Amino acid sequence: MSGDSVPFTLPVSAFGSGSSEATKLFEELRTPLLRYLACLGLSTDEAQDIAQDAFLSLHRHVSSGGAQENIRSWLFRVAHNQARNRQTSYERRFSAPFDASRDEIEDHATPERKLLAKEKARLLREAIRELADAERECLLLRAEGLRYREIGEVLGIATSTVADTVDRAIRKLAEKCNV
Amino acid sequence: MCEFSGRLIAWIDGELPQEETAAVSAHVPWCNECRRDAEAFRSVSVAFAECARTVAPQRARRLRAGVIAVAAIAAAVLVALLVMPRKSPVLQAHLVLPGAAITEVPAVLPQAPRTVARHVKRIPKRVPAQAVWMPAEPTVQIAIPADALFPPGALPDGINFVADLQLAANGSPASVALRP
Repeated sequence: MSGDSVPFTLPVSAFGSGSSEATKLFEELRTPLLRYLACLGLSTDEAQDIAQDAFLSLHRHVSSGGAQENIRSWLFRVAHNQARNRQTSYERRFSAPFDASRDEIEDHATPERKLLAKEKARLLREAIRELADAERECLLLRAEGLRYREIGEVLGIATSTVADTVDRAIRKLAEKCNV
Repeated sequence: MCEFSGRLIAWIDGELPQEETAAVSAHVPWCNECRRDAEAFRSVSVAFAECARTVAPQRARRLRAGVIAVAAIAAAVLVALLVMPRKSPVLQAHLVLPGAAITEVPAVLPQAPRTVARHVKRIPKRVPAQAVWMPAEPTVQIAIPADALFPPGALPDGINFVADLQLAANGSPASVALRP
């Protein structure tokens, strides 16, 4: 998560039809983008719609001579804004993006450890739900490997604000989960 | 509280300027408080990422399964609706045709598959006989000409009718009727 990010800068030629660079970029960014959108509370169909639109916009942006730096944050920003627009237009709340019904404990653990892990996971999900939207979004983008600068570009806030928000959110989670 | 505490998370994320990174890196191994906090922040970051990573695919799988189930039910209802006029006693009662012609029709029809027959048997039970012609609020009405329902030659010459299907809002067949 904290490793140095590769700058997603591409030559215009990368977006020629059928080019392998464009395909590679699509494959690299598609899953993280879909995951981010799903974690915002969108359905699979909505997430796929928005991701597809975002990639099309990116293609148009680069083809028409738009800036080619920070492709990753550009893509996430377009998708994020579209997700936000849907939230407004459909009056939906992204309040409970994390499903409490999951059970990710391994089978080979002892019953006590399973119970403890389950309880920890429950506390974590509860703590995540209690975060402010901006805090949760910062952590989700951070979990997808975006740098603070990129997160700021996606959410339209200053890098220093991202640093403060991430710091606050992680401390909240650590305190609530008693990790 | 240790003076380095406020920079630990940015340090973990590799977001501090070079000199500060070096300072914190030199400090943490010697400070119990910072070492413990850094470990806690790292572990909660990993737990958060795992949580986010496992949420999306599971949600997707469940949703996809739901879509498939709905599509399967819709397909079953459609198949049942299309096959029903051949078998349903309710429908035959409403045929405005001579009795002899009605009894002859099923004899020349090919047998419907077993799975389809199960749907065919159930659906007429849910439709009260009185509601067949006058459903309260049909949402979809489909008219199917007889030549689309029966194979060529299955109907005696001179007999023509149209099947009216009315689907309720929940997708169940509100009424099925044949009219000449």
